[in-house]
Amino acid sequence: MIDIDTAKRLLDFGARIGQGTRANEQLKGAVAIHNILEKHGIAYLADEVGMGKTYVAIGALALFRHYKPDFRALVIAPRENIQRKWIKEMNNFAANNMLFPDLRFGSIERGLVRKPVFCSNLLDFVHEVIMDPRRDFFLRITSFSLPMGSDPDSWFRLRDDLLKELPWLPRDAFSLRSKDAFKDNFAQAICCAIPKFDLVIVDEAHNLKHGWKSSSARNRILSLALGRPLENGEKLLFPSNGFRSKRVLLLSATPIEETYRHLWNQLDVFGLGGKYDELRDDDHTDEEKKEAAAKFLIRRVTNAHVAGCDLTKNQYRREWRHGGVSQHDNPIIIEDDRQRLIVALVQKKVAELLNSEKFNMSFQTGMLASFESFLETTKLKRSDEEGNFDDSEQTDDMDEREGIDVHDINRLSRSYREKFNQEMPHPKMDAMVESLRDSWKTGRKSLVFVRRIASVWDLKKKLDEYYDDWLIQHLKERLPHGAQKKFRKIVGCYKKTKQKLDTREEKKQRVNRVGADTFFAWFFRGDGPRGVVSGANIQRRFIQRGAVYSTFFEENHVMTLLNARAGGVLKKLDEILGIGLAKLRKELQRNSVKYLSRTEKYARADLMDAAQAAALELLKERGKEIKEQAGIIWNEIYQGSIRKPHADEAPDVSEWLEKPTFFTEIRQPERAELRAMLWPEPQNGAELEKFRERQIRAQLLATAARLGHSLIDLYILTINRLGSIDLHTLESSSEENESLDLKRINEYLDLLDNQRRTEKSSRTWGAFDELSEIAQNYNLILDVNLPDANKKPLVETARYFGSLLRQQQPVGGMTGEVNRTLVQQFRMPGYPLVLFTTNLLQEGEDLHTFCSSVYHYGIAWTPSSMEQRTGRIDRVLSQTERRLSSLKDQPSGEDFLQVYYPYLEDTVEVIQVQRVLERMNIFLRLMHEGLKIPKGDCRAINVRASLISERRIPEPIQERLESSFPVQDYTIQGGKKQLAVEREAMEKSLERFQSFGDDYLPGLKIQWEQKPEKGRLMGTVKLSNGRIQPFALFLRSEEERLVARCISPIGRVVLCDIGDIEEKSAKTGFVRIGAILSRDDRSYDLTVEDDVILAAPEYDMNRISRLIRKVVEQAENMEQLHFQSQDMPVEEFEENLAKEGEDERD
Amino acid sequence: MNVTDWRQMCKEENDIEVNGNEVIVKCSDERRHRILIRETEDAYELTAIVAHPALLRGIENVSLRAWQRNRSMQLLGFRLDNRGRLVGETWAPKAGLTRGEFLLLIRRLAAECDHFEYHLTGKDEE
Repeated sequence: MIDIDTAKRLLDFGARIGQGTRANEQLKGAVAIHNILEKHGIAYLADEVGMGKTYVAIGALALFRHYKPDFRALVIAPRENIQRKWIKEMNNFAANNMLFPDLRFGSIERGLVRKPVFCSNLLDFVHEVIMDPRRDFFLRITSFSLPMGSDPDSWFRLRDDLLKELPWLPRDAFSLRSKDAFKDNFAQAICCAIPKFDLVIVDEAHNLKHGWKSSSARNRILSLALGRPLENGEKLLFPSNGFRSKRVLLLSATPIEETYRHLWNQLDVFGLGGKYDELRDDDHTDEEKKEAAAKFLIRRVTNAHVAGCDLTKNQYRREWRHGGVSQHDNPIIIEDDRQRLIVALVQKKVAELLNSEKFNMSFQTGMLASFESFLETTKLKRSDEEGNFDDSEQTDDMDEREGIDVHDINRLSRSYREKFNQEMPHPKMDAMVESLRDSWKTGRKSLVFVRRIASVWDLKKKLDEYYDDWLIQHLKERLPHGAQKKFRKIVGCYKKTKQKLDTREEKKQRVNRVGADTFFAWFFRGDGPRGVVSGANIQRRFIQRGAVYSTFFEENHVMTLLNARAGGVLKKLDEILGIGLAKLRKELQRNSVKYLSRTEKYARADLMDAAQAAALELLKERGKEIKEQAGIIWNEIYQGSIRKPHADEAPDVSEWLEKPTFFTEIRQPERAELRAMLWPEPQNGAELEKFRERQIRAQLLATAARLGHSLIDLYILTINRLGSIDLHTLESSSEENESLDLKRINEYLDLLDNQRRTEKSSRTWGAFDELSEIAQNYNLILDVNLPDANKKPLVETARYFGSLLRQQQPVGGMTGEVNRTLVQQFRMPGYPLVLFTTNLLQEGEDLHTFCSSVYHYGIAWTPSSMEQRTGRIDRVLSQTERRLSSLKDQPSGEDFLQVYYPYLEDTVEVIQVQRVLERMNIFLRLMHEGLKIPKGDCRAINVRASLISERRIPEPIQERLESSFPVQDYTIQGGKKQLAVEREAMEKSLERFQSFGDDYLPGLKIQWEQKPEKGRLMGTVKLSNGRIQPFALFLRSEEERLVARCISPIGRVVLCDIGDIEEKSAKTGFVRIGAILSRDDRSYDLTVEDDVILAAPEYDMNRISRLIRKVVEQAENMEQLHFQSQDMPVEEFEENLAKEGEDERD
Repeated sequence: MNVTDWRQMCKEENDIEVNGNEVIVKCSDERRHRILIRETEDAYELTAIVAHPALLRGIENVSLRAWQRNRSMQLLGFRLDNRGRLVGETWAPKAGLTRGEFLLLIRRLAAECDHFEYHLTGKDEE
C-alpha cells in the first residue's frame, strides 16, 4: 500500500489544472484506488461527472507501474472517440503530471514508456497482443458486440481471421450450431490469445449494469474473453482459458439506477460478485449494502469555489424546470391562437393513440415524435433498422422505436402544408430556436440534446435561417454604398440555390448541403459565387502563397530581431554585418537561392521566406549579440525549408525584409494593450520555449482570423477599402507597396482595438472577441484540442491548425457518428456556437471549455443519462468554473451553468418531464445520502395514472450534497514510504548517459553531433575501411535497469523489399532490422538496432563501445550487401533516427 | 563472471534448471523453455528455438511475423536461422555482468520465445 506523501513525490495533478483542492482530490483518489485494488482486487471510482476520473485512474496505473515496470494494463472504453481520448490523456499525463521521468511509466522524452495501442476490434486486439503484450491496450466495449449477419460466410471469415493469428486452434472448435454458441467459442478463443492483465479498467462501467447474462451478447462475450468461467458445469473449450484480470477498476459517475443489484452485476461480469453477494440479496438492508459497497467504491462530489463559498453542483447549476427557455422559471407561452389550436389538435391525436388497446395509455419516455417536432418523420422500413430515436434499445417494439405518433403527425403535417403552404409550427421548437438566435451576437455557445434523430437537422435548418438573416443584414449595414446593388443580387442567387436544395429534399432526393447550409458557408468558404469579391475570395488572398495579402499574417523575424521599422531593416542589418549595402544584397541573393524552388514565377510568401532565411543565416554566423536568437529562429523555421532541387538563381530579395506584417505592427508600443489581449508575450521558459510559444500563438491567431467568424470583419474592412465587390476592383489594386501594406494592417488593428474598447453589450460579437478568447485560454485550448502542437516542427503547426479550424459552421449537427472536427471546434471559441446532437455525445466527450448552457430538448429516460449529458459541460476547468472562480461578489443566476428542460405545459410531455425530474432528485439522494430503492421500471409512463396523481414539477434540491462514499483515511496511508526510483537518481542516470558523448570510447573513432537532446546522442563512426556509419543512442529501461539502445541506418527501400532483406540477412547471423516510414510515405529507412543493459558505471565505456561497434559493423555489412550505396552523413537520417527513438515507427 | 559461475548462479534459482550448456526455464502456466548459452571472448550469446521447420510448415509469413515482433522487442530478437528454425537470441557482455542481469536476460528470452511458440503452435515442445 502506498502512502499519499510518497505518491506526491512522483505525481503532480496540479500541473495542468493548477494546485489546489481539485488536484489534491485527484491525488487522494489515485492513491486510494491503488490501495483498494491492492487489497481487494476490485475498485469502483464513482466521482461525479467532470471530476477527472480518467486522470485519477491513470494516476493509479502510474503508481502501480512505478513499482512494477512490467505491470500490464487493458482499458475498455465505451466508444471509439473515448478510446482515443484515453490515449491522448495517457500521453498528456506522462508529459505533464509526472514530476520526473521515472523510466517506468514516463520516458525521458516525457512520453510513455509503454506505448498505448489502439485496437479497432477484437481481432486487432489479438494481433497486437501477440506481437508484443508488453504495452497498454485500448479497446472499446462495442467491439465485443461481434457483428454477425445471418450468412454463415461471415462467421467463417471471423473464424479464419482468428486462425491466422492462432494457427493451432482447431477449426471445428467453432460451433456453427448457432450464433450464440459460435460467439461463446470465439470469446473463449480470444481468452487463449491474451495474457493475464494486472489491471483491467472499464470506463463508463454502468454499461455493464445488466450483468453478463443479460440479453446483451456483448457483456457475455466480454466476460468470457476475460476468462470468466461458465456456470452450470460447462467445460471450458480450451485448456488455457482462465481469468485474465488480476485487478479490475470500474469507472462511472452513475454506477446504479435503482438498485444495488446493478453494482453487483458489474462485478459479476468479471467473476468478482461472490464476495459481495449482499449487494444483490433482498434480505440485506440498505445500510448493509452501503457498507459492502463502501469497501471498494469511492465517490466525491464537485465543488465550485465562488466568492468564498463552496457550492456543490446542484447549487451552481440553474435548472429551468418549468419548461421555458427565455425567462427563468417561466414556461413557454404560446401567444398565437393558431399555434394553440395546433398543439391542442396534436394532443387530441396523441391521446387517441395512447388510449388504444395496444398502448393502454402508456408510452416510452422521450419517444413521441410530437414532443420534438411536427415535421415529417421517416417511417422505418425494416425491423432491424435503427429507430427514429437515439437509445432505441429502450424498447424492442417496432412501433415505439419509430415513434407511435409518427404516422398521425406526418398526416397532419402534410395536410397543413397543403392547406397553408408552410410547415406546421411547433411552439417548443420555435421557442427553442428563437432563444438561440442571438448566439452569434453574443458569442454564447449552447449544447442541445435531442431524442428524435431528425430533430437535429430540423432544428439546425431553422437556426441556420435565422443566422442567414442576421449575417445578410449585418453585411448590408456595413458594406459600402458601391457594393449594395451587387450584394443584393448575390443574396438573391444564394436564396435560389437554397430553394433548389429544399425542393430536392422535399422530394426525398439526396442532398449535400455542405457548402450551402448557410450564407457563411456559401459566401465565405468553398468556391463562393463567381465574378465578385466573395468572402471565400478574400480568404484565399490571405492564404495562397502568391496572393496579394499572403504576407499579412507572416512574421518578419529579421525586422523584429533588429528592432527596425519598415524601410530601415536593410540599413540596420548592414550596421551589424558591416559589409556595405551592395555586398549585403548580393549575399542575401546568393543565400536565398537554396530556399527557392525551380519555378518561373515566385510566390510572394516564398520570396519573403527566402529573404528571412538568407538574412538569418548571416545573423546566426556574424550577428554579434543577436547571433543566438537568429540561430534559434533559423533552426526552428528555416533549416527544414531548404529545397531539393532548388533554384539556380534568385532575384534580389532584400526588399522583402522591409515588409511590415500584422505581427510587426502589433508589437508597436501604441498597440501594447491590444497585444496583451491577442498575442501576449510568453512569460516562462528559456528563449527557445518562448520563441516557440510566440510562434504557435501567432499561427493560431492567424488561422482563426482567416477561417471563422473573424473573417467577416476582415472581409468588411477589405470591401470598404475597395469600395466595391466587383472582381476587377480587387485586381486593379494589386500593385503593392509598403505604405499600402502598413495602411491595411493598421486599419485591421484599429478595428480590433475599437472592438476592445467598446462594451460587448453595445456591439455584436466580433473578431476581437474570438481572437482574444483564444489568446487568453491558449494553454487550455492546446491541452484539449491540440496536445501535439508543442512537439510538432513549427513549419507543420500552421497546417495542423488549418485542419482543425477548416469548414467552420455557425450551427453544428451530429448524428450517427462523432464528427471529431466539429467536437474540437466546439471546444474552442468561435463556430459552431450551437451544437445539436443525439446521445452520441452523451458520454466521454469534453465540451465544457467554452459552453455553459445545455438544453435537454428531448428528454432521456434515465437520470444517469441526463446527468451524463449535463456533465459534458460541467467538468474541471469548464467555462462555468473559470467564470465562477473569478467572481468577487455573490453570483447571479446568469453566472451559473444553465440547464434547460424545454417542454410545453398542458401537453402529455409535462408528465414525462415530471417523472424524469422526480427520478433525478431521487438519484441525487441515492448517491449522496444513502441508497434507497424506488419502485418500478420507469421507461414507460402510464398517462392515466399520472393524470390522476397530482401534477407537480419537483424543484431542484438546494441543500449542499455530501457523498456517502468518501475516501477513507486508511486507504491513503501505506507502508511504502520510498519511491522505487527517486528524482535525483534519475537525473544522475541521465547525466551518466549524456556523458557518453563526452568520453572516449575504446576502439571507435566517433564524431558526436553537437546538439544532444535529453536521452539521445547522435554521431558518426569512422570505420576501418574508411567508410562512415551514422548512429543514434537512446536511453531506455527494462524493469528497474537502464538500457542503451543503438540504431544505425542502412538505406532506403520500399515495403515489399523488407521481407526479402530480413530473410537474407537473418540467415547470416543475429541482426535486428528496423524500418522508419520516410516523409514521402512511400519508402522506409532501414536500420539495424540492438540494446544493452547498463551495468555498474565503471563498465559503461566497455559496454557502450561494444554495442555501437556491433551495430555499426552489422549496418555496414548490410549496406554493402544490399545497397552498395554511398555513405550518407548523419544529417540525412537525423530526423528519422529521432523518430525511431520516440517509437513513431512502423 | 566465467562459465562456471553462470551455472552456479542458475542452480540457485527455483525456475531454472541447468543442463550442460543449456538451461531449462519454467515459464507461466506450467510451460518451459530451453536456452543454449555460448561463450565468446567478451560476451555470452543466448539462443532459444521457438519452433522447428516441421511445425512452421503451413504458417504464412514466418519471417515477417518475426520481423514485426522485433519491432517492439528490447534486448532480444527473432529470426529464421540457416536451418529454417525460428530462434530467439540475446547477448550479455561479460564486462560488469551481474547475476541479476544474467537471470533477467535468461527469463526474458525464455518468456518471449515461449510466448511466440504458444501463439504459433499451441505447443510446448522447446
